[in-house]
Amino acid sequence: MITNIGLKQLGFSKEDYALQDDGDGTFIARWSSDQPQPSVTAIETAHAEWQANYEAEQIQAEANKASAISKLEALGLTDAEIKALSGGL
Amino acid sequence: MSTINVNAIDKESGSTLTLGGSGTTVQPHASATVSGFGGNNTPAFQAYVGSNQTLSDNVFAKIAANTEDFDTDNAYNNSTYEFVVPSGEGGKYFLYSRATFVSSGGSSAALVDQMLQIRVNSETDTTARLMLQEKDYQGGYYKTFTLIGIATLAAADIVYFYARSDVSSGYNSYLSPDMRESFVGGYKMIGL
Repeated sequence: MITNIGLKQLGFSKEDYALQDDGDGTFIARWSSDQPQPSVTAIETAHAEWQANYEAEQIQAEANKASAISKLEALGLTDAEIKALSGGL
Repeated sequence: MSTINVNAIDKESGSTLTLGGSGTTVQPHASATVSGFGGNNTPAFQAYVGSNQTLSDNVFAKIAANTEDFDTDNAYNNSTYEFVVPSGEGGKYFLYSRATFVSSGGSSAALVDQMLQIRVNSETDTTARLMLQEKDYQGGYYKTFTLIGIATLAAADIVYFYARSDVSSGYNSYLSPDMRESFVGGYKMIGL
């Protein structure tokens, strides 16, 4: 499927193209880049790459948070104090 | 005052029939019905989005105004969301669309750039008849825009109402149906 994320992941800006969906799925209604228009497969692959990176970042962020809380607890901070420091996390 | 009772008054020659003279006020009776001139603002139509319309990130989509308030000439299609100018009804049309964009997909602040367009026939995103856009905005939750304008249309012309919503990566947005927050419409103008 053609997606904005896939095209952005390939390095294009939204001025390079116009996407449209008239009820039968998204298609590229305009291509203005000086670079060749990528294939649907290339766009899908790029979207999948972005998705994998995004999910990995989410997992890493959760791990970082858990690690930070654990270290703060080891220093003797209470849950209320940790919550106050972290803005309610 | 005398009364003339006839069924028709017409010119004797030439092309002009003159009623009254300088200083005369020609006034129909208060209870009379006057027709055949002056015109009315039809065709006229208005339809609104009846349920949440999810928008893919940065993709132009027709505003899914599927519920009609009125459609005098049955010229608006509430399945394809297109208005077709009826035969003999070319002229100046006042057109409008309103869209309320709401951030969704897990974020309450994903709205970036929003755009409305009214296109006629084969017009594209770069040649649309009317456009409204907000650019370089970040972090919106709930935004309403109204696009209005006048377009010269010919019979059989097709009018499309588009919306586009650019959101932060990984999220999406939708058009709100609440209390007619998102709708399209138009009517033929007289005297232009």
